[in-house]
Amino acid sequence: METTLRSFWQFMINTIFKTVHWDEERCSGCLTCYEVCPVGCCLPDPATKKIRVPDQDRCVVCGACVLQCPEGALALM
Amino acid sequence: MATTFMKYLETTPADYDRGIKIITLGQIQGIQERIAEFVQPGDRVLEIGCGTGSLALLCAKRGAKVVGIDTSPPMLAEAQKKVKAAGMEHRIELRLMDATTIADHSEPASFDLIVSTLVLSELEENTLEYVLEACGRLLKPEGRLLVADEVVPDGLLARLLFYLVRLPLALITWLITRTSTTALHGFPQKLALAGFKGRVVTSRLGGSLQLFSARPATAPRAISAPEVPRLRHRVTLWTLLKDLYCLLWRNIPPYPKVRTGLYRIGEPDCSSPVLVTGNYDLTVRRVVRELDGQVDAWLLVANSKGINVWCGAGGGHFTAENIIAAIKTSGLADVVDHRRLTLPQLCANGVKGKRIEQETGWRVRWGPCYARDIPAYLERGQRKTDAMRWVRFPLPARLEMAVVMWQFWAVLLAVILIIVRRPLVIPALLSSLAMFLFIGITWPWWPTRDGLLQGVGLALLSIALLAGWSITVGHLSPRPLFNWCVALGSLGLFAGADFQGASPFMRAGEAEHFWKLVPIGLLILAVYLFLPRTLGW
Repeated sequence: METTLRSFWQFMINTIFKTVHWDEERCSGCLTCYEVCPVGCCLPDPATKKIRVPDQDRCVVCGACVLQCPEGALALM
Repeated sequence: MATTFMKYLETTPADYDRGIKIITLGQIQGIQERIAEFVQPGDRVLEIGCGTGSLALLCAKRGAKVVGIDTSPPMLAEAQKKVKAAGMEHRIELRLMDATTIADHSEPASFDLIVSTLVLSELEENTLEYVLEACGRLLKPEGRLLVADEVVPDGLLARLLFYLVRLPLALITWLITRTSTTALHGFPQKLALAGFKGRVVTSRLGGSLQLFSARPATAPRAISAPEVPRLRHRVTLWTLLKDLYCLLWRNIPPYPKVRTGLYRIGEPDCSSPVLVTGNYDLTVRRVVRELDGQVDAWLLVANSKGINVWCGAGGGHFTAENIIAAIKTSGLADVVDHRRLTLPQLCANGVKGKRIEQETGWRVRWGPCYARDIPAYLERGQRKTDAMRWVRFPLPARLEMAVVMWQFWAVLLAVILIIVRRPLVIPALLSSLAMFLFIGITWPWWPTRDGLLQGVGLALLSIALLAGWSITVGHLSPRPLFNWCVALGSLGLFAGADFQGASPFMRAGEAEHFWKLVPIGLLILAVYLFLPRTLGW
């Protein structure tokens, strides 16, 4: 019973607070994530030639950016 | 429960195994053992659709070297665990592969046995023919093809019994495990066409589960390139009925499907763009509606199991493997000079572009989110504007979705309440409609995008409004007020959570599994049953 409740709580926390995280070091600036993100979470940054993520709250945790990134610079946590 | 159903479609390997066991009434085990009896030590065996690896293990234990392929990564992961646990890594090789590419990755005449259980019936017809031909090429001359699958039995009585028993069984299986199976049609003829000579080895469940054994007999007949059909935008009574069906039944299968393959839109030539989409009938018709008369392009319809590309990709039902299979079986490479595919952006959450490039050499481009932007997109040399990259949810769409989501449940509520408590029908329908419309209109201004939280908010708001009305005007006594609060609260919770499923901003993983909403329902039920008693109402 307790493990069920705990896993349910974990699941609730995950689905409500999960969002995208970007590793600047790994990013190669290919902008594929920009091409595939449906909500405009990953935007190009002309200054750094990479991307910027101004608003993590937009993320709908669809996983497109994570799947397509050739460098593995994005993750959903 | 759109949110729940969309993720409900995602089956786990354990669900799948359980589902197969239920729908074959446990006979699958015996069939697999019968297949394994054909294995001689040292045989090279290919299993198409190895799933969680049970048959591969049976063959390996008899001394075979097995190559197992499957298109589902979670299944293969599960199979890898089983193989490791049995210490059979040296005998079993598991690969993520679609059946249509087997001939590209193995030497001809290199397998003694090719086996497949309950997989070939899932393939589209032209794909099945292609795969059988590939099997013919891969088998040694004395090799054998062993296929076990669900078959519609011959004979009127057997057929009647088949449908009588299968329909409820299939429904129960689907409800418990979200697994369903299809039956093979005309398999002996297909075997003959692919150059095999086959017979039925064993037959279970009144002839509905059959094991075929086939040996390569003649050289397979060459497939002549078919004329590529043209898709036109047409509104007929039939398409309107299909639209209504999709509208009303939304998430409940069967999903109307289009036959996979290559189609023409307009008059494309060998340099025209190749657009890819899934095989959900509504999706294809919408794409054709937006493009017919506006562009000349090829439309490659790949198998998404009748699900739209976004949900399909998200649920693991639409992957790179499906598109690879479509490329192979459609003969696309013979029709078009370039090697560039344009994929719908919204399947990027499940279709790995790089995988398609690695396997086929075709480069992937991500087209716009909405089909109606495709003409402008093509005009811009296949470059998107930000508006084409991002999904939107304007007020007209929100109102439309509010009504569409509501009507499905309104019918259900009305039917239940007419039987149980007729006076409640009108209030229930009106209040639920009000809730859906409210959340549809106010959606952009909610502080959270999470459906469950919005549902909680809506529930609290409804209860507050009701309580306010009761205190000032209605003067309800505690017990009826409490009942109404519970009813409206539940409706509000439900409307908020369900509406999120209609929004393109639904967070993946929300209400991931149907049964996880049960605790909330039980809690509400408990409160409803016990709180009045404790408070003496």
